[in-house]
Amino acid sequence: MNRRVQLLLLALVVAVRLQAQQCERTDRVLACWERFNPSQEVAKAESTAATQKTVAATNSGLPALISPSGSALKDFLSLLSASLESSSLSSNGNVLTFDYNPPVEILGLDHALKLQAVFGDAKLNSQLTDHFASSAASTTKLNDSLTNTDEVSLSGSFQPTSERFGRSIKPHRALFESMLLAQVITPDSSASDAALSQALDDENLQTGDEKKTFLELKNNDLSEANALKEVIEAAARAQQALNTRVSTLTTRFAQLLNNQPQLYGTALYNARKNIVGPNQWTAKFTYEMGARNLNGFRGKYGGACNEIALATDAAAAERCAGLLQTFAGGDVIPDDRLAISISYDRTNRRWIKGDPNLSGFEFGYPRAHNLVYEV
Amino acid sequence: MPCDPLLFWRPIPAGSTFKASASGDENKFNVLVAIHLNGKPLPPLRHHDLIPGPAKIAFNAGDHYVFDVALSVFSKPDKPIDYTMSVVDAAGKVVSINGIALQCDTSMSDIGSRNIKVIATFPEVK
Repeated sequence: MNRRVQLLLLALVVAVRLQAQQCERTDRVLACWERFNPSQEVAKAESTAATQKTVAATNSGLPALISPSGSALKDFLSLLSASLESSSLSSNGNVLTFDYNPPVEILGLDHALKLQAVFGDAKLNSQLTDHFASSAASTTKLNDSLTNTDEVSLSGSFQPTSERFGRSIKPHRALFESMLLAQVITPDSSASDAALSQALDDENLQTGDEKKTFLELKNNDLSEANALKEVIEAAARAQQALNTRVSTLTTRFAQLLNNQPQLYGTALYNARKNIVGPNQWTAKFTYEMGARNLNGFRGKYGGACNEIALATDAAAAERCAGLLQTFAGGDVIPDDRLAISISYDRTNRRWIKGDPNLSGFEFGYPRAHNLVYEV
Repeated sequence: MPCDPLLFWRPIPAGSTFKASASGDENKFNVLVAIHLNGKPLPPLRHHDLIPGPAKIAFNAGDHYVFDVALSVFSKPDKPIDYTMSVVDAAGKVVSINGIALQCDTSMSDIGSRNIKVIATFPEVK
């Protein structure tokens, strides 16, 4: 591509960008606003992409409860929230689950323990089905003898959510809201809102007028349409600045929040009828944290940047929001994470013989231990 | 109806009330409505005011409100975060102006932020 064509293309790109950030008299008021402040779907795509860039890399988690030793890591934030405060009984296909969060306090945290019982769809062990493969009558009889209590998983799990542990915004809400408010209400935004409100009064604009063009609203008077456009455009620019401040704060806060230490422990007991399988114990403990997190921010700046201090001091909230963003760093923070995972499984030995339903067949399950750790 | 990023809700009839509420996994999001009344900031509607809500603000003659809604989601929710707002009359019915209902909602199902500005005016009684 020769140099002249390249320059022409560059000029076109610049022109298109300038056009996108400038309203026309033929624009509808809302379209002018959206040149600076995209509507939901566009904003969602842009915002999500920006935040995902940082947060996706800092996800962490724990195993699924029913099978702690075999599942992929995933976010465990909602695991407890699904059944907080109460017990519940749910049926999903052939599985019946009972959840309970007892109102007990552990390490100063209330409702941090979750108990779960899962009554599964018991199936005959493969040793039996293989042995009786040619005897449908025998397998049918054995299958018919199974009930929902022949495959039961009992578990207890502990996942603290507090100011120091977990990814919930709840313990940090007051801090965030103070910083957020300082981004939304500024002298500039107040002045811009007042000017916009005054302009709407002066022009007697009503609901629905935001869908009209500046020229329509001013009866094709070019000069007046231009003046109205200038006011709306100025307010749209101010809103764009506000949106950027809010988006940046949210993104950085999310980064630090998602890097908070996460502690999770669970113990699982699988109780099975002898013709279904062996009884098994599993215990798992995971701990994970990112290099820069809210604990670090509070440790460094918490003397001045705390909920109480910021609640009544907008200037301090603005300063602390700036400190938090600097502390969090750029769009992509280093993926310095510490993750520790220890898992122990034990399978009980069991030998089945003399069962009249097994027609003399003997089989069993060996004892097994397995300790896995990962750092 | 999905909320546009800019809403003109005016002129609001006498006896009307602004209502706003949000729902979703509270571990994962925050919602705040900053308020300017006649050019001066007022205490905002905070998350705990809006969940379960609804938070309500009665309009008085001559009130010029600007509501700045700020919805922030910190981690991907299992179910969408929903925010809804409206202007209702004394009987609780949604008010319409020029055939347009003063009611809208927005939903977020991924991390990020969303802002909506509402200019709501109750005309001065002359």
